[in-house]
Amino acid sequence: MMRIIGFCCERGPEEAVDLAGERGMRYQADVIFIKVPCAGRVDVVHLLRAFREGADAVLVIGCLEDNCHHVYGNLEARKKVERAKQILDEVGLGSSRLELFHVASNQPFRIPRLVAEMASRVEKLGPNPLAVKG
Amino acid sequence: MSGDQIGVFVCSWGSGKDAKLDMDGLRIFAGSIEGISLSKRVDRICSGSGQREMISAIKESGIDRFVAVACSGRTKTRLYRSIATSSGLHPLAFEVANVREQAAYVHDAPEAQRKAEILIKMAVEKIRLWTAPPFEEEMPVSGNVAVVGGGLMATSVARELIAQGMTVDLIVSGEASKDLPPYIFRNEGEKERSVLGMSEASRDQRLRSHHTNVLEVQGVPGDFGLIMDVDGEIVPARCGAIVLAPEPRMELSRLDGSPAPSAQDLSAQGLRRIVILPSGPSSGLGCSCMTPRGMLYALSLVNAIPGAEVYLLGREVRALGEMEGLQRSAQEKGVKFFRIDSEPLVEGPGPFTITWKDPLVGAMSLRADLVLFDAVLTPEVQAMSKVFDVPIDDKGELLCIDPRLRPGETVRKGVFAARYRVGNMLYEDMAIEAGSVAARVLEMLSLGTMEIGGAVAEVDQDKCSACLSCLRICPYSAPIIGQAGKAEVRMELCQGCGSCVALCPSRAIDIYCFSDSQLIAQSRAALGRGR
Repeated sequence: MMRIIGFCCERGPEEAVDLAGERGMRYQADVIFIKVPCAGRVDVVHLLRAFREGADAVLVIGCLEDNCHHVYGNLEARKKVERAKQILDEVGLGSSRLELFHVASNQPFRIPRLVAEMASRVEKLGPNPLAVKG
Repeated sequence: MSGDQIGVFVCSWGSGKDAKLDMDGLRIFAGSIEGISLSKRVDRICSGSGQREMISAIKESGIDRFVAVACSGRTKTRLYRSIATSSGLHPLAFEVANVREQAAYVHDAPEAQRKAEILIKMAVEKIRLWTAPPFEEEMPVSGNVAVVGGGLMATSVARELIAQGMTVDLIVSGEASKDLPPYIFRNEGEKERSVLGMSEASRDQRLRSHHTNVLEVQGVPGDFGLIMDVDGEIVPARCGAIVLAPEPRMELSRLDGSPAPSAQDLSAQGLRRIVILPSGPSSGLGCSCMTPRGMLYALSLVNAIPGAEVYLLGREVRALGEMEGLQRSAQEKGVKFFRIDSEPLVEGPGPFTITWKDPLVGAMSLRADLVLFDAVLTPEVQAMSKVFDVPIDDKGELLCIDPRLRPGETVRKGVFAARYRVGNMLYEDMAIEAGSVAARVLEMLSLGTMEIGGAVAEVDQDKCSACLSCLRICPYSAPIIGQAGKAEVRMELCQGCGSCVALCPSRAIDIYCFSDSQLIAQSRAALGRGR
């Protein structure tokens, strides 16, 4: 069993997640979404902390670029994700465990796809070596 | 923290797809989490009886916050808020664990149950760390709206607002237009009424018009104070919201910006081949469409000048509704329409060579005696941007957050912009834009009160190093440097995006309802870690 955390903007992306449920789409139960007011709310700390606590992969889902409810929060998120990816590479966890996606509220079909994408990356990389019990 | 009492309400809706969750199991699970003083099943939270059940349970048990284990909280926020208020709690003292769309509907039975439990645990850990945000549900707002701009858009917005019972201060900085600008297609009948001329507007009691400039904006959304300069005298005006409606000059212009010549002039000068381009680098804004304005002009030329050849270039033809007939008759008269992929290259002082890329055919070129631009110019935008602190976008228009989902809303709360670019503005477009902006204004003011606070950011003054990061990042200009030389977030302007929180290098800012500790507690709970 793997553990994936998804930071999910409460605007378009959360709507897409709920709509995916409404439509009866299926995705791995390994992913848990955490609601944030905007992708720009997510900081490097939250991303790295999730890995330290044992997440095998972390994804951040923001609204489509140029379509952020808060003007450029999703572009801020990109900077944060890139910085965190750099650190993940430096410490040897691998930057591909972390990804930023842009999903609009009418794209629920993308949710199962991007969850599957992260799951397949974890399968390739193996579980998070930092995951310690307790 | 230990004094806080958390209750969990498990909604029982289970049937069909939902039946895979063992709701009673969830209730027992929730009750077993440390610090939960109440775990209860409620027969459908969305039903009246369900809500009454919750309210009396909250009152009896003395809990001060609750978790609703139910379906998506997106549509039910109001409901939970009213449950919280009616039971004497803070209106935002709740958290939703969406075990339907995020568990029951997407996973199979054993996994769904496990995930639902994680979601409940996360919601509990999040609400445990919740601190009551500053929140005012009923801040009174003014029913007066300031509409700035003297054009038809301004008067149309004013008309819409007056029709809805508002009063309007119409502030005209330039010279008020007396008639429709040239090349706007006039329609017969009903739609004519949507636009109100200045003279007509000034007869209305509920509208006061001022020929002046706004010098300064004070106050907060819902209660702005405008400082105006009327003949050297400083005049204040109060308003709940501000609508900026810069008057456009919609016209066909030459390369140097001079207006397009009439058919007679062209005929006299012997110019035959005319190319009309969408707005160019020197000609201000506009969209990249072939517009009815261009078509009308083209028709006037082919009708008046024998042997005239007119070419319209653009990304697409914009001819909605009755305008389609216009395009058809232009085509029948021999006006040619070409699609372009990028901005065409214009060479020569005349005759001109225009080269462009057609998306299907590839490179194309054309020789012409005269090149015209079909552009919308809004000369007032610069001044408005400065006074009202609304940024200008890359097209030179007042920046709107999202023209589709939040029409007319600028990044300044309470300041709206009626823009002309939304499709190269025609006469009906203007009425529609005016109506949608007026609707947004009404949404804010019509109740007479508005909410402020909630999930807003707050600066810990002791940690702030006044580095100005938050002032730079905030799209809404909510943070300022206060009296103490430290940053302060103005709650009435903050829209709770949290960008400043994530950016602050001193970690001096946190946001209510989505605090750092709450997000970390949630991810710990999601990963099966303890508190």
